[in-house]
Amino acid sequence: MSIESVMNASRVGLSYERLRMDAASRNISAANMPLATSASATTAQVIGSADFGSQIDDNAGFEVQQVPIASRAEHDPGHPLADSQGMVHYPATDLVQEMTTLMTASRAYEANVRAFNLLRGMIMKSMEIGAK
Amino acid sequence: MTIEPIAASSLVAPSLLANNPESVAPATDFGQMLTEGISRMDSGLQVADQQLRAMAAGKGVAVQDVMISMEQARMNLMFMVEVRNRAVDAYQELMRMQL
Repeated sequence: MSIESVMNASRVGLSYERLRMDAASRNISAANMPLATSASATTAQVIGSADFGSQIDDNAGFEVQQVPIASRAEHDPGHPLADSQGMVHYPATDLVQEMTTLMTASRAYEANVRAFNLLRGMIMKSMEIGAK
Repeated sequence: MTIEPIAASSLVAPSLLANNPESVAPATDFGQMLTEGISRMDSGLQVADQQLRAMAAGKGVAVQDVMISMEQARMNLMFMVEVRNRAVDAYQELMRMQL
């Protein structure tokens, strides 16, 4: 494994954790937004085309995709988006799961930064070998 | 009775004894290798510069990509400076040699 591929692994890891954070933030922000009567609920999810190892090797990307989820209904007849039964629909976002994703993603981002910095420190230190 | 000559060839790898100058001399000379290294470092610097400009222009370049390119460019530059320091040291050592 060359130095460049180690750095590339850190870079791909950072991008992945950023995307996970983006998706979780989007889901939390949309959790309490009422759905239009014709729209169905979706949740954002980071989906890669292949497994993570080959994504690092091929530098292939992953993207945030909208995945359908169930919706929850609340009785609110005065709401402009209420249906014929007086129910307003919201995406059934699991806030506990989204908050956990946010936390693990930010910690994993820090771990990737740390791995990169350690590698950088080793390279910088190796240049002092034999220096006067 | 004849005395057998000492076989010196057994001490040297047979590939080095072949009548082929390419197998003994390195494929590229040191100056060319140095020039290639410098141009590779320069292209790394330019990549970092372009990414930084793109990010400043708001083209949606990820921060971590820019930081990693800049760090790589910096490490390459430091490595080149170290190589230059060793080369200058060796030159000065030769210049101080008593003749």
